Amino acid sequence: MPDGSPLRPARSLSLVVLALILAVPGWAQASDSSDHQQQARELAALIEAAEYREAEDRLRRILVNHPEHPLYLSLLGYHHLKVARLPESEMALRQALETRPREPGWLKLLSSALLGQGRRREGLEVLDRAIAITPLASFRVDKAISLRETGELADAERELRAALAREPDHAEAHRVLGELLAERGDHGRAFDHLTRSVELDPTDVEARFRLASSLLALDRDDEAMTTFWSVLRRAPGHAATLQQLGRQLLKSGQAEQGRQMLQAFRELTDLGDRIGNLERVVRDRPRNVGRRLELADLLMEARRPADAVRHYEIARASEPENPSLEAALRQARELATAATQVEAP
Amino acid sequence: MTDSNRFVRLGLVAVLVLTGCSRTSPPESAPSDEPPSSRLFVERSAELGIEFVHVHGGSGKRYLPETMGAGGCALDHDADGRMDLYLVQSGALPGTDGSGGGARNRLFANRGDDGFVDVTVGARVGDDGYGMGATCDDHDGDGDVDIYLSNFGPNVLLENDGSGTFSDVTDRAGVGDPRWSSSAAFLDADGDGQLDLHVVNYLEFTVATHRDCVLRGVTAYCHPDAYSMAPDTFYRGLGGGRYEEATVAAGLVDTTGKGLGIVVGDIDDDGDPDVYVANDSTPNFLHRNDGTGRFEEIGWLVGVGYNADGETEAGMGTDMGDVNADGHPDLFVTNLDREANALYLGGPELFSFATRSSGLQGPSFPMLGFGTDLLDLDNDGDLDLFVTNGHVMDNIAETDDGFSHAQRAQVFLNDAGRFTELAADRLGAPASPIVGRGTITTDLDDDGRLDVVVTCNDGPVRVFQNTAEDAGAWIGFSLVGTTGHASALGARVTVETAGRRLTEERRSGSSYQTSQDPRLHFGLGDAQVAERVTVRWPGGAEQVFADLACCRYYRLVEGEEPR
Repeated sequence: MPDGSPLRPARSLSLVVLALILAVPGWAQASDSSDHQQQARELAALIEAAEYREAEDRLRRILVNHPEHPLYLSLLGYHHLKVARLPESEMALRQALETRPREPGWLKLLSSALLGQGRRREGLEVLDRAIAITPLASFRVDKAISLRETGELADAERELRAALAREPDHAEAHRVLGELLAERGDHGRAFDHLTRSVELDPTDVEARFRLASSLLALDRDDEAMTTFWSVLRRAPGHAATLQQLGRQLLKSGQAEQGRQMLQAFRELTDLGDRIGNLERVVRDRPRNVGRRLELADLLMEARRPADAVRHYEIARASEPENPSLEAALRQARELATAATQVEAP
Repeated sequence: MTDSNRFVRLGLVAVLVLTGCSRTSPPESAPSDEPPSSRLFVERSAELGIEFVHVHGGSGKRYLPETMGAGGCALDHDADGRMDLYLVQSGALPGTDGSGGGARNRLFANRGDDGFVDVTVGARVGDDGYGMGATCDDHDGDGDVDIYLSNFGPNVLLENDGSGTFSDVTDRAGVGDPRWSSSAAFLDADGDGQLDLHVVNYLEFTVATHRDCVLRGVTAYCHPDAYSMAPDTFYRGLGGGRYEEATVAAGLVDTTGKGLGIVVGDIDDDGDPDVYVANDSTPNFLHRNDGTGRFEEIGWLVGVGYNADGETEAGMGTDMGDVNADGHPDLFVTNLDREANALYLGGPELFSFATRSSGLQGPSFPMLGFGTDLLDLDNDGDLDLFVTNGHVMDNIAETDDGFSHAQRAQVFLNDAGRFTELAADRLGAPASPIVGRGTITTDLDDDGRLDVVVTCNDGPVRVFQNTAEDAGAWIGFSLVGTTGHASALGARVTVETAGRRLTEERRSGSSYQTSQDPRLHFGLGDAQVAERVTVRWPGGAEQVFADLACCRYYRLVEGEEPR
């Protein structure tokens, strides 16, 4: 059983929030004093840098003196969201919104907290309020992903098209729309959107994999193979790509190579299943540090350092003095950085 | 042939006793402003007297077996030419204080115009094990149908004495697998004329090892990953109705999946039966038979073990058929919600991932599929798709309000290999949400329009009568082998007419915890004659028949003319 949709919304959150911090009234608006604005920016930066423990400590200290300050409550909500403490996140964000009910960024965060708790109707209602105030493409992408999970495909497509009408160069909107179209068998139009998505964000391996799959569906096998290989260069542990490449090798008569690649895929997928199991455990019990570290280690084994970094960082928020954790995090960061520096074709 | 309208007549005098699968919230009736004939299916269980309510015996602890059953089968237990129904019961889970103690499986005999009669006691088939599935076939080749029960606990083989009365011969036969079994299928793996038996087992679960699982603060049925997988079992037929356990000897060394569904067929067209197993959150298995009854697991290699994204899925039910009429059998697997059901198109060597290109990805993504059948519902000459849905978590709405426990069934009509979901107002009764588990395809009134019986978890069975007004012509065959096993399992029938070539295979056990009407059914569209009918009998002998008139069932005995 999967953790959720292959159309994962995780990419959008940080980018959106950063955009909100910098460009949208919310965390630091004109009515806030310059001190508050500065503090808020620093705290947001800490959270973005996954310095969760420090961010929470500072926030709690500030909130002792400003217990109802919506700016800090919203940041606390954001922090809790990032470390998967969803009910606490919801509570803090609702408190913040009592004072400023029309902050689109906070509404967006609240919707994420609600959707993460399986409260889709509420989550989508809140997201709609955010969209009504500021129809950012990323808001609509998140809504489309949720709609798609419950089978409301036409509505999902409508949201994505609206997102692209507002922000024609939104890479994730292109990717998700490309995936939706591919699922309908419309590989021609899917190809267009996936190509654009890869152009806009060459580091997105999922978009690249989908693009390769669309090429395959369009019987452009050579280009598909080239693109699959480019996925593998960026993400050596991309199991689905190994499977597709193995199959193509078999089809082209390279039986032994194909079999070897499929065998590697099989072993990696077994690892992936173990990862999936642990992801479920961590999702259900987000404060279980031991299991989270186990998950991060497996992600490293699966050559997914960027995902490992995220879990090491969340774990570090609970165990800031753990030296082996610090070393593991450092190594994961180095590998993740190296992975993003692969040259674009 | 019996009167195809008799179900409607019966409805005039019947008392509606049970109308839905959900005990607490009866399903909505189909839209009343449409004449019944405009809908594909009408629900007839009460009118027909098939009053059966599955009880899972839940004690509130949410033991996993509670939510997984149960199925049943279509069979002609008394050889009167009419399809009867055997329905599997669960009851109180042994070792718990759950309700439903004393609940038993039940057999409903088809009495034609008089509906169905419960003959469980007289037929001595009221097994009271914690039931999951039933596979019904002539295991000992004596010309009558027997019943193999997959239980949570020891499995049971009920042998028919020819009069429609059964005896428990499990110990003598040696097939009482004690594990948690889900589905099973008979096959003649080594072509020796004795049926073998493949039993699909799920998890190493006991009440003592039950774990309390919590999802988003709510007590929930555990994910299967909470338990170890249980290996499948292969029994080699020895003759005389006896078997020996031969799992490893048959090369089935990689059987440690979390198996739920099975389908058997000659996937590589080499004349022997291969076995496909749908596993829950572990890779699906394709056991290729080398012709001697030894198997090699090749699902991962030929592209039916994982989905196109390289992921294992939560395989539940499965079926096999040639959906694009290219001569290669295809495989279909139902999966969890937020996974699409999977369609794998067969090819000369590799399967291709066709879930997306066939149009099945989007409509199946939010549904949790269980039983499924590839069948020609409108008799237009291609295989449509029936999927019954229903969540495993009774409280799913508490943890994710975008999903529900009871879900509508789905019918997908096939147009040259691309599927389109039939709208609810055309589908009729199956559009009402139920907690579906097994699907039993049969033709209860012998009108050539395939009916579907859906078993439900902790709720009443639904009998969906096919009332398609615009259905095409059809032809059907029951097969009797004479050189191999009498059941003719593995026989392949090809019908050629009006430029089309349709192939079906006689198989035992498919979908989820069920086995289907043993007769092979073909839609002929506008053609009134099957121009050429070729039967490849187990063992390889072929018979060809020309210009068989449509719209009736033929009895084909190997080496004889059709009757």
